[in-house]
Amino acid sequence: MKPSLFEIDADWDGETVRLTTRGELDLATSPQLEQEMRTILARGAQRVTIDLSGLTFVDSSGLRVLIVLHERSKQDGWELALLAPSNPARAVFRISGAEEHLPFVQASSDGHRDGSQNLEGAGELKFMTSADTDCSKQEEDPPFVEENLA
Amino acid sequence: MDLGESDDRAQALAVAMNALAEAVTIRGADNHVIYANTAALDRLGFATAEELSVADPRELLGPWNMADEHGAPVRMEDLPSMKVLAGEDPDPMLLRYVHRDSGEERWVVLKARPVRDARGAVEAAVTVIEDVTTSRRSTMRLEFIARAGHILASSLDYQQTLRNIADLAVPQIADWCALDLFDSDGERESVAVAHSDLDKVKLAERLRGIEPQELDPDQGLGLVQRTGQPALYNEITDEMIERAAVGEEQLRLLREVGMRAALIVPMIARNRTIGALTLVSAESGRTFDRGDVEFAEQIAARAALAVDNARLYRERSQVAHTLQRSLLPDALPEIPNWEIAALYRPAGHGNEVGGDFYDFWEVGQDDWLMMIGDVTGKGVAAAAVTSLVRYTARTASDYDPSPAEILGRVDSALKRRPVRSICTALCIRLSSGCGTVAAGGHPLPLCLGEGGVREIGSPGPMLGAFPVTAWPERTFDVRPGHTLVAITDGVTDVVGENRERFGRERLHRVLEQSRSEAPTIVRERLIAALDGFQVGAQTDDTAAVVMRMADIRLTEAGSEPNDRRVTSGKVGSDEYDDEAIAV
Repeated sequence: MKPSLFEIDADWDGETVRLTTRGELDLATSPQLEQEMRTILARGAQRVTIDLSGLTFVDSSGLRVLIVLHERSKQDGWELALLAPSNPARAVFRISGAEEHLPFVQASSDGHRDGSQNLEGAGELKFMTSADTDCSKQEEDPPFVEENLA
Repeated sequence: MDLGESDDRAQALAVAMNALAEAVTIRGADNHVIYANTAALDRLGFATAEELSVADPRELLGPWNMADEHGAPVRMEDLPSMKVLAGEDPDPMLLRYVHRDSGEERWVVLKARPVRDARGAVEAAVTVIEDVTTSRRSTMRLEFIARAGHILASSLDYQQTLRNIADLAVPQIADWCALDLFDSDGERESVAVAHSDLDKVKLAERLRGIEPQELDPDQGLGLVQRTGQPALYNEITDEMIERAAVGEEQLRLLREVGMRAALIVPMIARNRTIGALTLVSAESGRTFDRGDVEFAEQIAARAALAVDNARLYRERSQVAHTLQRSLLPDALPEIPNWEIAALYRPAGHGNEVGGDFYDFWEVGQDDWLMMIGDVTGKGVAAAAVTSLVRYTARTASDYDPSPAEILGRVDSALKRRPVRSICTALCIRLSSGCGTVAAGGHPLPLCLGEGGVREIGSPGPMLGAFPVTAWPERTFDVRPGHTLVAITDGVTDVVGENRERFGRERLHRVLEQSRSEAPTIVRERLIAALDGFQVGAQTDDTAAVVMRMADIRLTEAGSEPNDRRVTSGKVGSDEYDDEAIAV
């Protein structure tokens, strides 16, 4: 049997939901994320954290879903936070400039990433800043240098 | 064995035997039938057992033609009772009887057992004949429907599919099976004619060859086409054939077919009669009943659906191809001092429009713009966005041919769309001796030169996605012999073993190894590397543009150094498949 390429789990705590994703988020699988988001929003989720750290690949279709969700959260008044994927899935966020514009948050410095994380517990979270799109130094950079996001 | 014994038991036995629905016969050692119960006498058309016992064994079938389950004639000695008398232990035998006059078809199973004398020698064979017509037909029809279902779902080549259906129908459903389609003008296209005998098929082909193109609207196929109702002809007489035939040759061939009965049912899809299924009974001599008509209608409806789907699919593929071609340049331009090659491979089976595109156009006196991009999504919606991006970029360049400015304009145009439309794009302006590049969420271009492979430009945000209004722009030197390579992420995202991606490193390696080659060679090496790496079907569109600045040292030896033009090919050809389109 073909292994599932994308998996998603929802973990509820009151009106706060943490979605844990694993696998590949692309043209074929991003409808699954959209569907899951529709479901949890219909069930009254107010704060949603999507943990992308388990993703091995993200393409522009996956990115588009996240951009649309971010927009909708602002329009409809719910909170969205994203936990960044690790390499190489992170590349698309860096290249596209999404790191700067999507609501990425970071787990606390001890790497604590369990369900207790809460968007309202701002002490635990720090919004990411990105130096990636600093154009001035780009031409000297050799390819494949992974900037340190932390 | 004395069947004349007249005690009560024998009497009771005779009554019981005559009450059986199954026909029972007993064949004596001399091959004559010495007993038949009432059901057997009815079946064979005799009034009494005595009449039957004196009849020639060969004539026992009376008005019935007998064939095995495959339609082949059955010899007397193949019958189970004859085998029993010959000392064998035969399996039950399935037979098809067709009444010579009425054309009625019956299916029976014959089972025979020996009756032995005191010494164990076979002195008679008891045969039980069970009529299995109803169950046989329903089994056959279910089997046919199941197999036809597989055939109809197996391919989008509907002509081959219909030929397979016709082949499946003979000889069990009918002696002949033909399928015709009508095009939108009502013109008939004969798609399939099947008979289990190949010589007969040739006969039908000759017949079709001389048939008039115009169908008679009041009989046969023409009638069915006009009314959308089935037509059943159970008594085809020679006079009818004479009336229907147009010319001597057709009459001769029609007589050779020896039609006994014909059933024509319409193939209806979306309320239109798109064709007809014809079943003809000839040498089997059988006729068609109401059950046959219903069954044929069922098959025709399924076939019609398959044809309709295949046609819609084909239409959709054509629309996709047309649309796709409108999104790529018809031909790569001839840019002075530049050699260009491009690669374009849409994902899917040629029926979907991809979101990747590239374009070249001239700005100002000697400058050229190259744009490559990837619109998120697929299909007609993505094609509409692609079109918007291309034409917005071209228009924007009239005002300001700066790559960063062009990306900004495209970004604004995308943001004005009611549906979130995003796109990655890379824009390069080629001037004499230098280039300017801006990227919007797109993989940066690579420059192949003496120093190896290097990335040029700075990454900027994706277009249509974020609240930004400016894109970084970089200027770079281009020297003769340098090659610029721009790709879409479909190249680096090609999936290999264990879901590994082709990636930037492999791309760099391939380009490094071919950095002094001509663009067409670079492209071929890239295609080979991608094909060698890829496992399974291509999941994303793939596009790449390779541009090499002509080496001036070469042109200096030429007669017209200032007018060196490097010719490029055309995009694909008219036959545009889902293979790589090498430009």
